[in-house]
Amino acid sequence: MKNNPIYKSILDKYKNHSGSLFPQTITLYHNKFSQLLESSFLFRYIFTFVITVIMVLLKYLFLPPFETPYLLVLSAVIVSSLYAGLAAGLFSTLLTAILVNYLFFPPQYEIKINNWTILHTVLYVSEGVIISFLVETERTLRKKIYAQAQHFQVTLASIGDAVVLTDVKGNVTFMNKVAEYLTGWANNDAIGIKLESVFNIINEKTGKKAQNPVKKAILKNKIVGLENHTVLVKKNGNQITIDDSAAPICDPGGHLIGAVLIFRDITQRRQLEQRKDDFVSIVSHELKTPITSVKLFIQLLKRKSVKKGEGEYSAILDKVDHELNKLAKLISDFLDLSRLQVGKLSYKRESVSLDGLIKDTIADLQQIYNTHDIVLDGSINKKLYADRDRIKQVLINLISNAVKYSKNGHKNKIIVELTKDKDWATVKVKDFGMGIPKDEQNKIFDRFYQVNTKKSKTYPGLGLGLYISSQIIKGHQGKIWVKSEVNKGSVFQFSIPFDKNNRRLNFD
Amino acid sequence: MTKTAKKILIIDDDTAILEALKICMEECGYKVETLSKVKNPKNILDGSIPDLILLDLRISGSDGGQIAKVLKKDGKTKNIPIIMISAHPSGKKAAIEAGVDHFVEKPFELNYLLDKIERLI
Repeated sequence: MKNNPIYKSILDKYKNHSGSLFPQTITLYHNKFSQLLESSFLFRYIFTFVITVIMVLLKYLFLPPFETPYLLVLSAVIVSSLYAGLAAGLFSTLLTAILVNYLFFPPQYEIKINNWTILHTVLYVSEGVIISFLVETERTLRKKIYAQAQHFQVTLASIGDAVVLTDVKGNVTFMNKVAEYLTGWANNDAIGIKLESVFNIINEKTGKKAQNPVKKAILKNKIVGLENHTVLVKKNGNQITIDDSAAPICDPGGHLIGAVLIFRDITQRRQLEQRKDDFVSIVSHELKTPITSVKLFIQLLKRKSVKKGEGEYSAILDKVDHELNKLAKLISDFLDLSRLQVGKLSYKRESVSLDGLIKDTIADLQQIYNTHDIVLDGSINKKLYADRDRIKQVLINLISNAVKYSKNGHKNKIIVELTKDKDWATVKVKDFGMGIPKDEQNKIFDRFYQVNTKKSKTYPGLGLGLYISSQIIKGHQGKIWVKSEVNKGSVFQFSIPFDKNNRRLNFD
Repeated sequence: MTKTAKKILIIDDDTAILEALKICMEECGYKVETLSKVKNPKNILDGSIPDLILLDLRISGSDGGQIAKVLKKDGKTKNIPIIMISAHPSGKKAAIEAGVDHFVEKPFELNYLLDKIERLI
């Protein structure tokens, strides 16, 4: 794993940062004394010996109020076994038994082996052994729990993405090193502070404060992703593009106890995407230029051949021209796809008459698709606030599809229906073609998707048109869907809200 | 035909498109002048005023939008219709900003372009 370049780059990034990203040892108590106890055999026994002797001496001092000497010295056993382990506990038991019996014995317990003293000693040693074992069991359990807790902490701290935990009020309770690095806040300074101060995010385009995902996660009690184009403003004012998610944390009883926020720096990725987009843009421009000149030459040849009455050439040239159009369409789709991926497909919204736009589009397409009758039905006589060219692109896509999939013996009619209600303008494009199977209908708006029937193999394409159309409609806060029946035809519909402020209306 | 040899100036740095457009326009009875490089937008016209200009948005050495702006500002040339042509999708925005009369995206149908020219001349 350490050879993994991503991992390496994270390590390189944070190596100058204070603190260790990966703590090496796990100990029960966090001080040098207990670390020494854990590591040194000799020290453990010296410690036990000293403790035992101290207790025995104390016992000697405080003997008068106590009937039996064992009560106090037993504490030496407890302390020894708690801090230095089972062996130390047993060692202490033995030591105290010997010391009590032979060194500091008051007159009534003098070194006369009688039943009374034997019974006392046996009882004492048994107690010592039992206590040592009990303490050891407890100690092992605690060590395990502690190791687990620490392992969890270390794991959390070692995650290559930034991790921030908050309580229910949205105050920071923990930040890992990456989060410290990305926000510019130290964990200790951030704890207890409102998340908004530490995780100061704005929208890349507007510069306005972005919605705090943790707040949303806590309020809605579900996982929330960040909106696109979110920029994190570090403590020093520097900005980085980030991607993140926030999720609520619930205890085993299901009660909300806080939230976890995870984010990462995607500045580099964004730059790469930008470069790719620029490249695609240049390539598509370069590809379209020769297509333009070839198309012009083809159309020139066609004009000349028509003039000379050479109709046979004219048909061939039409086919060449048609193929060139397909090529141009593919290039445009690729460019749109690339823009959609980087969220750069922008809309030039203006007041648009949908009636006029559809009429013009149908007139244009009717010239190209002379096999079909394209009919407009209905009108709305209300202006829409939309990107004229992009909506036209959707219309062309839907109508071209309708023609494409209703060839070969199907009724050659396409009906474009225009309706409105209070909030929405709706366009339906209806064909009487081959239709789409039920289980395919919800997938056809996916990227690169093509209806998977044997028949459709005769209709090549990249499966981008509907995806791009659906994205354009979504970009207008609208909705696009299909109703279809195999061999009866399909109705593709889209609705766009009249609302100029782009507010998403409650559609259902 | 009522065309008494109207003059069209075509400015594009792609020589293939320039040649194709020249032949097409001449075929349709227009007089054509071409330019593949523009050093100074102010000196484009050199005295002879065309009836229409076909202008590419991206020309090496200059910017079609800039040329259009200069022409549309000058009192002598502001009435010459300009059709801007570009393969760049954002070209329309630049064309509108430059104040041209029409925008045609590459690749285009010859008939479509001819129709637009006829309407403007």
